[in-house]
Amino acid sequence: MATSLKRITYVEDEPDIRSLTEFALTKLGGFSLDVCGSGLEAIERAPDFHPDLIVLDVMMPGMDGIETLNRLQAIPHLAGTPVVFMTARAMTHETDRYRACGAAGVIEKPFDPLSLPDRLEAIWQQAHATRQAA
Amino acid sequence: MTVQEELRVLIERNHARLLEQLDALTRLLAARDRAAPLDPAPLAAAQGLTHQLRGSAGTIGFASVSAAAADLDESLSRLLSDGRPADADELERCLDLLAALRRIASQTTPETSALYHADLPCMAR
Repeated sequence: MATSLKRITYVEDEPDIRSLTEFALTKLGGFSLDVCGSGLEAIERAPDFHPDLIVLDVMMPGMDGIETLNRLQAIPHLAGTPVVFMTARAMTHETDRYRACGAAGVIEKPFDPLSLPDRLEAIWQQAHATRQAA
Repeated sequence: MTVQEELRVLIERNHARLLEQLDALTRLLAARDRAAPLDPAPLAAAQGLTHQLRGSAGTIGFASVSAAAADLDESLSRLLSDGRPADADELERCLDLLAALRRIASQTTPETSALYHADLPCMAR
């Protein structure tokens, strides 16, 4: 696992949210980003991109975020990569379910794109610390 | 182009798309025979579009539009979970929520987005 967050695979089917998030994470956050429009794209590209963090929309047509997470975690060198879900459905029972599926964090939509880089960095640092302690 | 200008271009583009989505939603829900029940398929399409609007409007800095879309999203989701065509009274309530959403959205411009005049933090990693 890297010692700082640099590379993010970001998966979102909705173009408006995708463009603004891409702007925030690259121009404001300075991250190296691989933007995917579907879970399938992420499964194809993430193994070669070697992300430090994977950010997944939950509700996507076809393969949803949870199935995408399961399939990404089945790829050996991605199994330990922290995953953050983005969702408009973030009631307590829903976020508990996402965490039970292996999510390191959940970001509720709508979110403030300007603070997103710091929020992802904080989630990644916490996941990194947990992993180091284990 | 500065980072601030890039953000403003994005907001302008997304604001225009938001209004287009609202027109598409109106066509799905309002441009129909009000006395006839609405089947689950168009209802699901309308709910999907409303859910999208809820998320995108809030993320591009239009919290009031997002809140109004959330009211309609929840109302349509309840109808969908019943799994039967929506009756005239239920649809009328949704159309009232849609009218409120349109009214609020019509008062917005790109410049009224909470992000338009934001100070942008820039971090080099």
